[in-house]
Amino acid sequence: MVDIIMIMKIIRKFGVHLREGFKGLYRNIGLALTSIITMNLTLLVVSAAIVLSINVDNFSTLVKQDFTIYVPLNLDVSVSRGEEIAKEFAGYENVLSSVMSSKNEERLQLMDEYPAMDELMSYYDGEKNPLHNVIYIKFANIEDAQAVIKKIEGHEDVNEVIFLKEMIESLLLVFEIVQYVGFTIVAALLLVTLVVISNTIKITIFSRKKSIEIMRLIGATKGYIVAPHIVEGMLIGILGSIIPILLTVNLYNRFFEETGGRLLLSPFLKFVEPSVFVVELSIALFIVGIGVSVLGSRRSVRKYLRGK
Amino acid sequence: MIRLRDVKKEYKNGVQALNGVSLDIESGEFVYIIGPSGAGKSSLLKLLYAEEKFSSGDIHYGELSMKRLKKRHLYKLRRKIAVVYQDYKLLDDLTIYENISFVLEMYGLPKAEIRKRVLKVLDSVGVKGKAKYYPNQLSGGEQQRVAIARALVNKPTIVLCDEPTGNLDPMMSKEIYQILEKINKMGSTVIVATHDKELVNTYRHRVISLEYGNIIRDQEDGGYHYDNEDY
Repeated sequence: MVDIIMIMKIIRKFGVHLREGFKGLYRNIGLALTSIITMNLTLLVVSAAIVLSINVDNFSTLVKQDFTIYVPLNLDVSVSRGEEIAKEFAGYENVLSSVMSSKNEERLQLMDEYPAMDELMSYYDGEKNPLHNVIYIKFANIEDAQAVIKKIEGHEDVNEVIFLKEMIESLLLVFEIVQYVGFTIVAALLLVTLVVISNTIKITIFSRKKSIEIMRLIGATKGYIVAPHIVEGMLIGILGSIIPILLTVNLYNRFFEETGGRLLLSPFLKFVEPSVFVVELSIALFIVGIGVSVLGSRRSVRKYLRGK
Repeated sequence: MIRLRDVKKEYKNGVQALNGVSLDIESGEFVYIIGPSGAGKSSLLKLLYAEEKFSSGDIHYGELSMKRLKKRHLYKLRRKIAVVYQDYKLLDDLTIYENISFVLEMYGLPKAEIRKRVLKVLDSVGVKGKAKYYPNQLSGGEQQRVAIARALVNKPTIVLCDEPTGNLDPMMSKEIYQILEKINKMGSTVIVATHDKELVNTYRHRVISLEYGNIIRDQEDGGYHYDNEDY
């Protein structure tokens, strides 16, 4: 029985906080709008940075997955010997796959990819084919590939090892820099938003100084005084995050459709499909929006009440 | 019972507001605190409702020592003490009813109970008919009655008044004093800091006179001056 009375009291108090939070927002609508707009802009940039980061991360993974070294064997190595060597390489540590492509397959692929070579290469069939039998090797971990590459280079039947490691490393470095810069901007913007909201609430507190004073003097607990301001902060957070969420989801969907999901029509640098992350992203933006607002409000009221 | 022992208050700017004040106030007493401006009247009241901290000494409410009272428990004490100010301190954007009901909302009371208690207390100070008005639609005397109603709605054991008639004409001041007398008769301790000679002389009670932060007179049924002359 006592518990029900307590619960009812808590519910009623919660109702009062909600009402006062809405009232506060309405009373200081100009200031609240400033906070909401700031939050909208910040969260838009934050969401853009997150989307960019997710895609850059995806590019890095794709590039790493696609890192293949091209190993032409000596001209005197036969197809069957080539297959044996490919099997040998497949057993090396860190090698994900090792596949042999005969010089005839190479010739046909060349003709297929470059129609201009079609006629020329059709002449070089059988014994006349000047190409090498080749082994394509992929690694489980690109960072640790160097040792295996050295071992392969030293193999007696290997003509040379061709790969674009430096270019790929530069590309990965660019991706990494893009992510760091993105995170820094996001962190700075969130801090700015926190300060703006904190100041907004500070001003609303100033306009409610009298009611806070009276509440204190009639014996309101700090929690009771702080609560409506937290509600107000939450409302700012909710209103401040809805537009960025809708815009991000909508714009990214369109962008994905327009580009066909590929970066500059690249065959392997694909964008992440919207369905993979939009729900999580929306929840994250919502939580960040409310979190920053609530933190800002709490900070201001607590500061005001400190020592009182 | 309120017990002050060697209470000193020095503000950060070096002003010594109280110089070791000791006094006892029994439950249900009516006490005037008088003295010239800067004598320490308001400081004494602020210490009593814990708006300010004393520099040394101690204040006891019954067995409760303010010195040992933790800040987070202050609100419990404040729920027992009501304060009435010279400037009423009503919230201009709330109606008279809301100005009082928000005190009870703090306790999570049901709406019907709040309504009953608010109307009753407004009735007891004679402004029941103004429940839907806003403070600026009321006269000074009426606003002070509302402020008293807000103080009373919580059923406090102690009512502190800081110049409650400072902004009122003699007629209205008299009405406010009559309400304070009524509250006192109902059992609350009433402590009034005032400059109002006429009322102190008319409604005789214990008078504590302060000067430069010291008690210079503590007299039962005293007037504004020792010899009760207007000089």
